[in-house]
Amino acid sequence: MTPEDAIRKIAALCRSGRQVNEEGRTGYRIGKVFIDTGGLQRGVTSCPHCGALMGMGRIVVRHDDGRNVSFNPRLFHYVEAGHPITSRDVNGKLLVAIMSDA
Amino acid sequence: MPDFMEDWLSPERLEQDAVYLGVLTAWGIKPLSRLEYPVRPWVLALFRQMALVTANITRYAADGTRVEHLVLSRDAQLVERYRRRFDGRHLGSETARLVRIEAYYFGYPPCCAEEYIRAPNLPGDLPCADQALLFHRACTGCTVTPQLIPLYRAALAEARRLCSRFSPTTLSLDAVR
Repeated sequence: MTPEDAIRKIAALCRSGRQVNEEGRTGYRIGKVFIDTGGLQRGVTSCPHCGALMGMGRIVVRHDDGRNVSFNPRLFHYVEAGHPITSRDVNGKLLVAIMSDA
Repeated sequence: MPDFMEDWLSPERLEQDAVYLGVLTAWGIKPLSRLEYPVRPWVLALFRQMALVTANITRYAADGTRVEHLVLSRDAQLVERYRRRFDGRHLGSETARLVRIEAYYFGYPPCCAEEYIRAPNLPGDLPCADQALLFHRACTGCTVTPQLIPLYRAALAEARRLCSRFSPTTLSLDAVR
């Protein structure tokens, strides 16, 4: 699994619409992993690569064992559009490790 | 794109955000705001009623796509400074310098901008409902943002009132001209 695959998997889970509330946090559950979508903020920004509008904020991917990793929801667009993802965008190794153990 | 993101980027949501930014700017909470999407004439008319100065800014994505932004402020000189700095330029990547410049124009607390530069994906500790009011990510333990929350909440309520009163879906455009 690559970081792009992990983000696609998270996008697909969020698209399923089975939103849950766990300990006051809103998000989606897949096995041992909770995708916390409660960190969204207002506003949009233009993609520097192609000009498309992207959302702002933070998605937190939390494993039940305590590991967690965050990324900006603009990565959903980056992955769909095939734009590069850097280490500043997300800790790819940790994201893959968590999602591989979901 | 997840469904919640599509709702977030819906025309209705963006139009309400535009009016919300207009109120925040007209009240002086934000020195300048930037809309990265087109808005209908009734929103522009509302900005004029709020005595906001606007300017169209053209930017270019890396692939050459032309992107039109609209900036608004009570301060015509600030709009002009923004125009001189950004009009006709590429969007560029998110550098520390750009984050600081945008924080200055958009009224983001410097502490939040600095934490964002250091660690853009830190979880933060602001309640979700409060974070969802903001156009910036509050830094961990922020002492400035909590003071802004009541102002942002009041501005959002005013924006909703203006949308329900003036949106063409409920009233003629002539009402705001």
